[in-house]
Amino acid sequence: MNASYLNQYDQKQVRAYSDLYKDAIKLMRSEDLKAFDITQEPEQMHELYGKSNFGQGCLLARRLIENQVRYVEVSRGGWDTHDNNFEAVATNCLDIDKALSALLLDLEMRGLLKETMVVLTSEFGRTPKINPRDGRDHWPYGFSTFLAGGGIKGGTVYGKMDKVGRNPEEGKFVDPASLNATIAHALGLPLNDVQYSPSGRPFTVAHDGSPLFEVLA
Amino acid sequence: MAGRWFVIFSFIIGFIPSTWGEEPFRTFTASSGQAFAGRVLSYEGQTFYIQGKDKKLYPVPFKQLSQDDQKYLIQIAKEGKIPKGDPRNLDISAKPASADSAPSPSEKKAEQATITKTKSKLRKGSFFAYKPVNLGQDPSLSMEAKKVVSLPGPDEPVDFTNHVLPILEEKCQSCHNAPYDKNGRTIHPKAGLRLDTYEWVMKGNLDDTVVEAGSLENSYLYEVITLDEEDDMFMPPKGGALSAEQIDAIKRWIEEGAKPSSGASGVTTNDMSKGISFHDHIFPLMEERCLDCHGEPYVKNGRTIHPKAGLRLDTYEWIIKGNLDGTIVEKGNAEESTLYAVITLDSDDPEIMPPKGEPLTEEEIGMFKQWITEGAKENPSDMFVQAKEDVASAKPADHEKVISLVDQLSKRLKPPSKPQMEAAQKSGALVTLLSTRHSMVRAEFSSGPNSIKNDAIGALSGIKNNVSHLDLSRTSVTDGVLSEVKKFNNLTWLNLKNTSITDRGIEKLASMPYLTYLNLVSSKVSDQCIKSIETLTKLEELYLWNSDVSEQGIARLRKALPETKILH
Repeated sequence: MNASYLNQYDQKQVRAYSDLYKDAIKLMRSEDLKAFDITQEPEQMHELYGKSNFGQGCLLARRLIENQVRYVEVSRGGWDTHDNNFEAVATNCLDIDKALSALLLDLEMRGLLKETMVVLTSEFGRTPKINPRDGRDHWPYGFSTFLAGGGIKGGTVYGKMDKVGRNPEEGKFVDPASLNATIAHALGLPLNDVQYSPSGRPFTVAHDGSPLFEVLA
Repeated sequence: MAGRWFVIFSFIIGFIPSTWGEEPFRTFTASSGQAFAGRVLSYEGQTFYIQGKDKKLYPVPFKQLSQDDQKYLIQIAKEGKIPKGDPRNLDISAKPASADSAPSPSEKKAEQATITKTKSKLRKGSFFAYKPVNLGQDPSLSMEAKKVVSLPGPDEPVDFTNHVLPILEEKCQSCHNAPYDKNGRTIHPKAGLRLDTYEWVMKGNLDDTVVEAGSLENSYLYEVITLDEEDDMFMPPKGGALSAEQIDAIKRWIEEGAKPSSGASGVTTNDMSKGISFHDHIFPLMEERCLDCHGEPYVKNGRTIHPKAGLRLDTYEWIIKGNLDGTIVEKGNAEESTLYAVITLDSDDPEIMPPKGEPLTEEEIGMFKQWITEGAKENPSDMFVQAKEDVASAKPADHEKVISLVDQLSKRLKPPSKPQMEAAQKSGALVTLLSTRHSMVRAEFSSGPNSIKNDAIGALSGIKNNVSHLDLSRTSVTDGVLSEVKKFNNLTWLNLKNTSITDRGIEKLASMPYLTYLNLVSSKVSDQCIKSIETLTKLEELYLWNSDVSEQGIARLRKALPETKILH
């Protein structure tokens, strides 16, 4: 029916509509969707990553990276430890540690780690002071971020915190813009190019940040 | 009806003698079927000026007319029977035709429907006579009468300001102009492309440059105006195509090297070739553009106003001294000089200097660059000797830099042209330049790799020397494809993960000169491939996990290629 209509009214708009439908069907039937099917992975793989949500998320992330997806985000909550900080962090770290080490190993074995950057970060840290409920509250003045893989000089520590975890030692403050700039630099994104949002607001990939060349290979 | 036309025809032919040999009245038919009577007075580009029986002048686009009319017009234009240009300017006043030839009411209607009437001239000082003024532009300048537009003669070199700019003004600048303010919102040029000055035309937009001097093939500007009118990318999208003469002018301008207007730059180049003098060139410019903020401290309302950023630029000594952050002029090296860096930033960068007013022009920036390169001297004596020494001493430092293999390869090649890239995309691969202004490309089959067979690679052969990264992972290719891959001389990175490639395929890759990365994870290779891999002397990384290569095989490879990282 579409074809006969197109015969009669061969216009750009009509063609555009049929193309849209064709694209939607192509996406629904795409072979590429298999990338999401983690049941195709062998049992050892599932165990290597850990059978938690985060572990399975990392396994899926690796499958997607293998299928040339450009950006994958895996999130893990449970860090807002206003109560019972120490037990919660221990459990969380067990999970993260297992999945992250599996991810790095797996990427490396497949020859993908050198061109994949793995970033583990958070939006803020926890207070150096322990509150009466054995918890730690919000502390944006210092926290850790982990970078590995493509473009990163492994084993570097930048902006180490003082003993109590209050502020970075040696005055090496890193703001989010600089972290973004570092990631962007390693990805080869242009830092100075100004892009415009639909409302005309100008912005650059990493605002006014500049890359931390100390951590880049 | 026909009889009546005949009478009018013969009457006019006998009646009006003229220098141009005026054309007879005839019936023109629009492609929509409507007809009107008129005679051609002159033409300009694609527009023919036709005088109706009511003695009014109608500019008619050539394309609106029927084929017969078009043939007729082409013929008389070729024979030189009608002049070029707007008849109102040409001053061949449309002589009154016979009075008895007023068109019938039905014909009049048809005329109104098909033909756009010429605008009546606006009274001087009329509100509507004002043109909109762009942001940051002096209104008095834009109100100036337009320069007389002329197309270049056949042997005359094409001049940017006189020939090319008027075309851009007429056809392109309604969309590709400086940002302007509309109802409180800034309207940016479409596609981020400005075509209002020479500098912007040559700069292009974020995607790429649009003009490459001397190369029509790499000049996107020329490509889009010569596309088929049905094409999505055809420019201008509204208002009709450029005339053949206009396209020819742009074509010749690009072929002649896309030079700026000779009138503007000629003087300064001569001037600069004698060397830049601080007192004659640099300081007057500083005085005009920088000293408002970076002058001597002064007292205002009882308070001392210090120069911004603690930086004074009012004497030679202060300029060389810089501020607390450091020096701003690195003698002999413009690229390292903060002064040069801040004036060459993008015009919308928040750090650009001067922050107010127009950025410095290319010539002014050129003056700064030359002054710094020549050693940033106060007095320009012996500057050439000094400059040469500086260049000589700077060179070894550049060579010490480690340049990666792909960058070295890139320098030897030209980047693939847009048509070449498009042809390569036909293979089903995503083909991207490694970075902007890089010559090497990465080709990967990211979507639907199962359907990719050996023949897909044929489409990449047009840019085979430019392919440095080739990802065939997960595709259905077989050993045969590697005899084609072998012809990609500059390949550095090859991924054959999850394919049915066997040892016989790897044999074909033997001695590829630049291969540094080879991924054979989950492929069908075994120990037989080792002797071929051993010939890849540049190999830095080799991935053999989940293949049939044995422990002994790996040990042998590690011995043969001690520098290579081998994972299995």
